[in-house]
Amino acid sequence: MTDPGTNANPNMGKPLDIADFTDLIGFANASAALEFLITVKSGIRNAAMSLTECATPEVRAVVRNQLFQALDMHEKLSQLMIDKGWLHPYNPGEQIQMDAKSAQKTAEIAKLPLFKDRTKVLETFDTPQRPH
Amino acid sequence: MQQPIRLGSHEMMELHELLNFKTICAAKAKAIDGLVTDEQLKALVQQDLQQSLKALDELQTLLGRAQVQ
Repeated sequence: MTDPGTNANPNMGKPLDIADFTDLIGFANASAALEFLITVKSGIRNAAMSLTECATPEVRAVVRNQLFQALDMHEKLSQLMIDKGWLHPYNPGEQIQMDAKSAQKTAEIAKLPLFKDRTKVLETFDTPQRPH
Repeated sequence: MQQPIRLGSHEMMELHELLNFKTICAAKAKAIDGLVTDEQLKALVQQDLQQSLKALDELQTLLGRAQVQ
């Protein structure tokens, strides 16, 4: 049962190219939304933890206000992601499948030889030990 | 002139950490704004950027008034 479409190299023996990926713009939007969501969630944790370390009323007021702002932003962002189909909080199976797919797609894109025309950072500085 | 505010040294540290976090939030929000094309997502990113900038102001004001004990 060999299906050429699902082999290790689905691109007929040729190396993958960025042009082989479809809907990259939609994928970029979904990835950016996830990055944003993770940052908002970290912000909520950071602010909440800071609040437990602060005693001065003025400091507490500022941090608490920023915490509530972050909670509001989380509510709006997660609702948007649910509406767009980027987040499935009531369907963990679907969520895991989607995340596994985007992990694989991201890894494939990350392995492409992109940005080869950019300045090689390691050659613009004196480095005591060059990596092999 | 702004009134000085007495802070514990650990409170200074917390504010400093929050300041660093919000700085990176603002930088990332600006970068992400250039990446996204979805209008609704873009609106939220831009709102978050404005909130981060306001948060930076508030934190810097507090840090500027701080008198560590």
